[in-house]
Amino acid sequence: MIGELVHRFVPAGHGEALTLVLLHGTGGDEHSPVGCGARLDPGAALLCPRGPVGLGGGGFGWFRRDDAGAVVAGDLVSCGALLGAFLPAACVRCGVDAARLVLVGCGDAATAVAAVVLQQPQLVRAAVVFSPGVPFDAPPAVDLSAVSVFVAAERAGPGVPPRQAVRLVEQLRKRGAPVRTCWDGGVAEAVSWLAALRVALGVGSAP
Amino acid sequence: MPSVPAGLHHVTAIATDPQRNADFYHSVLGLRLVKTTVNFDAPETYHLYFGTEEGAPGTLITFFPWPQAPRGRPGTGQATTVAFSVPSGSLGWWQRHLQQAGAAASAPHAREDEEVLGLRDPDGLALELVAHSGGDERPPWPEGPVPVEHAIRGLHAVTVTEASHEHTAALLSETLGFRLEREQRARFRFGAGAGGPGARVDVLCSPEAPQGLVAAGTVHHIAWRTPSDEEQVAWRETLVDEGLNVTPVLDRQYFHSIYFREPGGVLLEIATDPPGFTADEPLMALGRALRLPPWLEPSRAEIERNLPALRSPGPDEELLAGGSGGS
Repeated sequence: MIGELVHRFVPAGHGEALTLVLLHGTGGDEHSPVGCGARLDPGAALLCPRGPVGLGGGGFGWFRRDDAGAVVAGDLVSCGALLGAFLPAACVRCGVDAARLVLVGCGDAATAVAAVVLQQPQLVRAAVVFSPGVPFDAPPAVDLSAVSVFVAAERAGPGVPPRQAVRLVEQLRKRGAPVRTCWDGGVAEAVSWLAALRVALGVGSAP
Repeated sequence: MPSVPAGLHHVTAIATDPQRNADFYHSVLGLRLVKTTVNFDAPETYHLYFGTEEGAPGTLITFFPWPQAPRGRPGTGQATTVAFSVPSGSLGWWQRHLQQAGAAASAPHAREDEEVLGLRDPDGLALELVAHSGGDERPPWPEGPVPVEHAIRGLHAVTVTEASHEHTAALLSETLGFRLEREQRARFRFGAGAGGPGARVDVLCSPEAPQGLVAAGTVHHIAWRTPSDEEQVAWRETLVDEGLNVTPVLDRQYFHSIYFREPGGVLLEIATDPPGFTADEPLMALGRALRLPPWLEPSRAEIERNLPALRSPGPDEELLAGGSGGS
């Protein structure tokens, strides 16, 4: 049903906090990204929905791939619609501020995060993506100036930036998003980037 | 009961590019960069303080400039306009000056017993220059780029926008002890301490406005003055007794702070006047080098590496900090 996704919610420890919306990797479920979220921002509330695609063997994903490994057309659009319906309802149910959501994903889940941001930027204040793919060749002409994005990916070779991530960054910047890139390491940088984001959003200054 | 705050201590807002921010507040508005430091909770973000010569409480606007900050949205539950006090008769000069500087500004207009010129800073923060018929005794920065006869005297007032004003008004008048000075349509003016420039807050009741989102181009919090640590502790007890969530006393190096949200959502602070900005550098040298609190000093090299480059605003343009890393 639209607006309903099986999910796990971990409330914030205490005081004002961001809510990290963590999309699990392919084959994972709503429990797999909790550790990652706690590492990125130990004070944050964590909202982890389960991907809509059952993969067999108990794992889930955010979109299907055909036999050639290509993403099934339309599945990334569905991702945006699905989370667009789920997130506002989940915020109410979990008692978190919809104006403090940060979408997080790695690999396929990062591609899904990018798909959501490029289609429904009003849903979130920021996104953190590790090793993203490019969800759309020609994304819609949305205004992303109110969504900050942290993009990390491994270099393709010495001195060679990761091609997919670079292309995504171009699409995001063209639409006005403030983007921070990180082609070496990533987790420690994301942790301090999220600390700066909390300050910029006025989160965590009050008890 | 602790004494009623004498007035505004400072206003803190979010910016993006630190150089553009420093150049605007120094060269266009003529304020002195009185401290160059970092946000103590997120040291990859600068904390820049601007004010008159010694950064007297009530003259200060401060910024967390972070190039990756998303754009904010002005609206309810937010301080939406910051007004500075300028001498009466100076707004014509300011209008020409702002035009030459390419700043977005409106023509001066009258509002009650004030002349008001509205403008926006480079990140879109709404500001006002207000010339008040009652005058302003506070000295300007005598060596700033704006001629002394026109220069900013300090903060004048802050406007907070609320979806409904009753609970906010009750906090200001009953808990903090401010006086309702006037009520005009949906604008309620409260005066702190002895009133006058720098001791005012306008509560604008605007139920049709969108909910404000704090980020670039919006105010983060507004701080009110208290004269001593003892009074601050008394304020903390009073606020806790009122059922408000209040932070412990935090050491901000140049003042001590407690924070709490008023019922409409605006983050308020009560900050001590002492020790002030000469706590860690002499008056002549204020703002000219990156200062860090003792607990961050061991990480100075790493902090400087992660900060964007910032040159001293004004003619000499020496490098203050940063510029060796980041993307």
